[in-house]
Amino acid sequence: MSRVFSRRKILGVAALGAAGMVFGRKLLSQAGEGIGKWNAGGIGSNELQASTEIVNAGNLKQSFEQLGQYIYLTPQKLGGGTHAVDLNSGRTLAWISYWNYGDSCPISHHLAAYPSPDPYKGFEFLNSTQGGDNVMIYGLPTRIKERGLTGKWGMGNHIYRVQFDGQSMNLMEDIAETTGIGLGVHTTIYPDASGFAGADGQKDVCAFFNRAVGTEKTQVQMAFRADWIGANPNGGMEENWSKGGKIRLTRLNAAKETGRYELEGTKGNKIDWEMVPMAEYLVYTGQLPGDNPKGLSGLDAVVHHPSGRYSALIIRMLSCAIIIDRHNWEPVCCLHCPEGSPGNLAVTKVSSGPDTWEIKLDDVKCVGHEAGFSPDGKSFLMMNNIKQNNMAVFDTADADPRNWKKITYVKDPTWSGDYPSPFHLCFSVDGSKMFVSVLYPKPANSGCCVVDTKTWKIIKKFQNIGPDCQTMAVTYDGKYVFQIFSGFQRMSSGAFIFTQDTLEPVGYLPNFGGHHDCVIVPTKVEQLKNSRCTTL
Amino acid sequence: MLTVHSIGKRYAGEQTVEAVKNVSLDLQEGRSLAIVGRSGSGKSTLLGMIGGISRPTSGQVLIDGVDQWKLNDSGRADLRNQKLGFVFQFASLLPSLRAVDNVALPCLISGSIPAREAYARAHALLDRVGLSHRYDSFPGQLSGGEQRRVAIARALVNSPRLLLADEPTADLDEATESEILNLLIDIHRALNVTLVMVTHNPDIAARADHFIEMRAGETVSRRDTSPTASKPAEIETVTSLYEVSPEKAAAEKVRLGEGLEVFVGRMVMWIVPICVIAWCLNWAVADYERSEIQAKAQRRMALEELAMQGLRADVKSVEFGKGKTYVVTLYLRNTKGDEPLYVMSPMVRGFVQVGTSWLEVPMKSLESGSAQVLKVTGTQILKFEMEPDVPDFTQLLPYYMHVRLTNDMLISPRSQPKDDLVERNDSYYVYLKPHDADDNAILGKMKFPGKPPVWIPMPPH
Repeated sequence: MSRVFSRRKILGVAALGAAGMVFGRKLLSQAGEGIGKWNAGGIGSNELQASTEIVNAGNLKQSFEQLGQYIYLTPQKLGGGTHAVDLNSGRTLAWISYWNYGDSCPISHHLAAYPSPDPYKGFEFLNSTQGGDNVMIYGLPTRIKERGLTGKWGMGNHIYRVQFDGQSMNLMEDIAETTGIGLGVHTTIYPDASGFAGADGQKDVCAFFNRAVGTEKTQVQMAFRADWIGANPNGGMEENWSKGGKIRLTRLNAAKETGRYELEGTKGNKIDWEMVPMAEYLVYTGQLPGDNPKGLSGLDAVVHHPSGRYSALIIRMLSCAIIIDRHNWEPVCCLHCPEGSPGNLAVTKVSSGPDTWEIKLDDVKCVGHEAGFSPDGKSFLMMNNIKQNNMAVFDTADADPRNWKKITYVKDPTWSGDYPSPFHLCFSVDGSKMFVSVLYPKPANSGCCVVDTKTWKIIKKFQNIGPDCQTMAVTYDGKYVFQIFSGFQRMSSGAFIFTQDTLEPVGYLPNFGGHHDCVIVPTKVEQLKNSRCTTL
Repeated sequence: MLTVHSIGKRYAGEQTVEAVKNVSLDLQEGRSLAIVGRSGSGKSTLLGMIGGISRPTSGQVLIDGVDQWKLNDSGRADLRNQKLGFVFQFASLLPSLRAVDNVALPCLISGSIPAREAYARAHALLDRVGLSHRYDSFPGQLSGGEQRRVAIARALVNSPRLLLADEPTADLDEATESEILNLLIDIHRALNVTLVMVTHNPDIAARADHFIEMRAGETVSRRDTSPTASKPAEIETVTSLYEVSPEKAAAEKVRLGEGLEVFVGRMVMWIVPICVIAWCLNWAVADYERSEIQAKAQRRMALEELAMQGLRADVKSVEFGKGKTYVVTLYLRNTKGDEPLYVMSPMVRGFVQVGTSWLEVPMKSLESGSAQVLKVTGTQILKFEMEPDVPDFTQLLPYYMHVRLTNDMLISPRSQPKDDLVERNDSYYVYLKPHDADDNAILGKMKFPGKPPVWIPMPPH
């Protein structure tokens, strides 16, 4: 017996067993890495393979210690305000709620912040609110309409200029009230921080404003409306766009008598509520009420080329971008994004009273959505959605936008059908990567992906982040990416954080409200090229 | 060496007893003292006070000038261990230990010398007391005289300078008594150890250098003999008893003293591999369980992703039905395509907004004989009839009812799921035009590119 089970044998077997387990585990992990490497190199050596990470929120319990000395600004959508979070401490520094200023239906929508050398001591930002009737598209059993709160003081489409003075937020100006132009969607600051642009896809109007400081009043520099004139207006609604037609861009002028525009509140709305993703279908089917859905182009946003001269007017129903020269406030060309469509269309001036230009489109293969310029200004991208799900990539390195060319598309095998669809985008600070939110319909969780900007291939996917992933923001030290998700206004919301360089998930930032946007307040003007200026 | 100055011992009680009264004596190193007297004369009490066993109530006992009764317990114990040897009236050997163990024990306890050396010394002492053939005998196997010899050897093992013997032959026959007492005297002389001995034997007492007789606690007579000349040669010889060569010590087999180390060593030899095995087993089980939990969580996440993203569900259309009913068509679309999804017949319910509440309205499936479990590979169409006869519905859009449809589904990638089942709860919101609504009246409030639609869906955003 003792010969069979001697202590020496037991000790030896135990040691061998322990060593075997340790080395076996090591070998397995190395083998796994080896297999991964083999696969990466073996399947099309010229292609980058996207690794997929299914995000498990339970494993990401605030593993970050410090996110940097930044102030993170997020609107609360139906919450009716905006709050500023100190990423260094996790504190909310201040917040504002527009209800308190007499807005009876504020839907805090999109925002952009001016640079401030020390945001902790003060900064200013611009915050649009959606049209008030948008409160009725989320299934809320509300009586807000019945009680008149979406009436005169609840129409929405405000552009609030808000100042954080180091202690609290102060409403400095309702630019819609000052100028008569109420725009409820994207706001984007000029690359030199001298002003900003706003747009609204319900009105097809965009406007450019100077920068007012403190108690000054904002002035309109220029405003345009983009109308769609379908080539086949008497056919089916969808053919009104798909069969082609003309975009008519008109310079808008203030009324001589008042010096104001007549676009405040719901004035100028072509449709009664916004086109959320997929709502283009409702336009096609005639189920979206409004004064002029057939004339809808979906001018929803403006993004600025980092050089500061050109801006792109984002036209959703037609998936195109009209390039405006802000030196003379005239359109230069039109980038048409659907795959199979010509990339750069000419703009023809057809009238001078008022200035009117037209762009002819032979057909419209799909709708588009968000867009943006890379930080170096050499690329422009725009989402093609619904009938196509990809991202058109334009080479915009040439000084003349008429020479900008569509060069490729960012695609993914799973982007088939109407969903999932690429949605918002932003770039890493060094420009080597593009981050794209990928939208799934309710109640599924959305995700985001990372695109290599040399090859325009997807190199990483984060899935299962949260419902309704929206815009993204990057810290200007090049460390973190914030992917905000709004939870379709009714479900969970927050911000998912991952690293810009290693693309590792870091954690979730708790927030309140159903966010639709997020901005990290820049401390330098040059940081605007990575902020809500060049991308949406 | 030993100075006793006016020492006394009084026992207080109902009657105070003075066991020893004002005894003084002075004993030089290497000399011997015999204390004689009748029983109860105070001999043993005096010896106990000299030996540090019984505290005197008066007087001093100085050993090499140190008053042991001014030392603390630990210091007194050290002094007894290092300088005194004690032979009691009875052998008082530990019965479970061999003779050699009993002899070596004081050294092992004090730790004054290594265990092997202590055993070598014990062997030498047993040789010296004539028990070289009884090393391994247990006390029960020894005669009374042999036990006394062992006790003498034990008293000497720490090389004491003062040997105290309290009637060491109490229960022995005369011949043995004489033999033992002679042995003590011989050792005293051979080792030059100072000896204080209590005895009844006048012959032995006569051989001591000093003699005192006690009666009722007092010394009644004294005698001092002239010092016996030492025998240097013999002293040297016997002193070598305590000088153990390394070779001899190394050859000793140790039973006591090193036992703890041996025990600990053996325990380590067993416990370490057992612990290693236990740790490995624990690690392996924990690793397996961890991987199982992670795998389960991954499967769950994959399943939820499949249920949420692999299945599109929404309202396809709503049409007027018979009477005031509506035919609601839902679709379920498998977006993964290549693998079927199994959906338990969706439980679809309809609600109409009244005030700020949702009022449930009758809704029934129009599918006849529909299967309990639907196999969804492409697009599955489901039709329901809803009868929202609600007069006071809230009009968010003029004339239209605000309707919520809920769709509760159990989804699995298998037709007979076990734990791979996910519940999904969808809500779809639509506006419904009442049957009796006037289109012109609606168009007076809202504009549509055509006729006001029967239903207006809200996008899944």
